[in-house]
Amino acid sequence: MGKKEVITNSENKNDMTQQSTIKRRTLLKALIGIPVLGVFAFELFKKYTYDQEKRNRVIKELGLDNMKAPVIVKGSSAKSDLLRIGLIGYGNRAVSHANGLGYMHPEDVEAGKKNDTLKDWLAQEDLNVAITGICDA
Amino acid sequence: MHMKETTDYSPMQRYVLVALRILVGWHILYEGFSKLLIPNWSSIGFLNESKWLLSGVSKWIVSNPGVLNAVDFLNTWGLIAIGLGLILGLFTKPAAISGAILLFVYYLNNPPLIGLEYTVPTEGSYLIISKTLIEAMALVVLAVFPSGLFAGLDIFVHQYRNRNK
Repeated sequence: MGKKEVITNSENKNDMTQQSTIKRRTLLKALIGIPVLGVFAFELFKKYTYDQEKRNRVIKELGLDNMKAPVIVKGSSAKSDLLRIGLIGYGNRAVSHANGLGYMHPEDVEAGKKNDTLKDWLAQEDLNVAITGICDA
Repeated sequence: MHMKETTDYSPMQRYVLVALRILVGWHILYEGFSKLLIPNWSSIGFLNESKWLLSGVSKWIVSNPGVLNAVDFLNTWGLIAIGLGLILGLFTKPAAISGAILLFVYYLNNPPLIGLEYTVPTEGSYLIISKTLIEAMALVVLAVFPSGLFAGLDIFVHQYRNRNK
């Protein structure tokens, strides 16, 4: 084996090592987000567990263990249970409450049509409430 | 205009841009997951607070339960997808552009302009410019630099596209 050949072989070897180093570096650079995501997942789990424990502690302390959390009403198509309401006494206040819940006396509907306030009232979201009884002497 | 090679940027420029991308990605990803983990989370509270240019659109969204549900879903999963894209450096440019648009929409819903009063207190003091707008701008910066090619899965995407050319 001549001297020149030996030099060429060692140059090839150097080239190959350099290439594999570049490949390894490229791979590491490409995958930089993976360990970050790992840390994120770990911290997310820690935070979630912490929040849940805190929430349960507060609920227990306030004695609200058996109460369901309120659900946001997203309007008429929300498939929540119908809320049945009964009113005891039907004075001015109750009229406002009933209006707020989506019920209006036919005379008030006519008045609303005349003074153009009915449209605003109708634009309110459907609260899925039923007035099942009114007790008024 | 020729596309600059990634080696045309100094190592410091590359590190800083990748760090910025990961930090913003982390924040956006957590914003998405936090909404996913809150039972019955809805954007209704945010949209009800909407003032200025987009208040009409927001009111329309709130008054249509189907649209509101779609907005909630897209918002949550959009944030998660953008966050993942930024952290992994995968499809960085579309992720950064979508993130910038989303944040700009948030900004337009409650810009800290003189005369606009919000019932929800902010955590800082702002005059016209808020942190949301600054983060949106940071994403614009990320969209115009190939930070996914400095470090990220975009390296593989780039190699794959070049091979198939």
